[in-house]
Amino acid sequence: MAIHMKVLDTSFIISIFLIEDENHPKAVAIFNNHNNEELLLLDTILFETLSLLNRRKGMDEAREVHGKLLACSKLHMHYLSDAQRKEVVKAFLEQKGRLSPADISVILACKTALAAPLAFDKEIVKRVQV
Amino acid sequence: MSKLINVSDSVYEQLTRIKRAKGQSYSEAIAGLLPAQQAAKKTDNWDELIAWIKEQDKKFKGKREKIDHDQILYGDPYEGP
Repeated sequence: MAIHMKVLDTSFIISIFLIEDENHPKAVAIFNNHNNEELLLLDTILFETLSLLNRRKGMDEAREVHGKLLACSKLHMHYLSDAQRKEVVKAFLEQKGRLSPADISVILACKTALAAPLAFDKEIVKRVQV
Repeated sequence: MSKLINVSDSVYEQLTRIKRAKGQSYSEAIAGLLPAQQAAKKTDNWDELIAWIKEQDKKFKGKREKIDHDQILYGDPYEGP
């Protein structure tokens, strides 16, 4: 069986853990169906996800989700190198849109690893396909 | 058992930094960098994670809503002057 890689975006991962999110059922179904794939979680996305969880649910929830994510063997944490961070900043400054550095890190990771994003953010999906 | 190994100055410097930051021995610092060692610490808890998410679902009684994560994290977008 071929192993494909997917890069997780905040718009997707947050929908998994915020059960009140209208995208939650879809996110869980997609997440469940990707159990044969390698999932890449960038540090930029982890930071955004934890910040958002803290804002909406508090630190207890953020800590619990953090522990569960890092314990999951299918999820590969990737901490951006200095060179990758510089590349993200360069792309951020050159953009004409409203993407955040975290969004750009997902797009660059997808292009580098020839991976697809797991995102509900249509702009990210569109930029990866270009 | 102790064994001597040769590493470059830059690797030694990095290992020392990790060792000091984490309060570890050199052996522990090296072991922590090995992928196999890290994988061994992880449990293949995919099913457990899904089960935990579904358990949270059962507790939810409200109505789902559209959540704009960018708005929560970054506020309203700039609309221009």
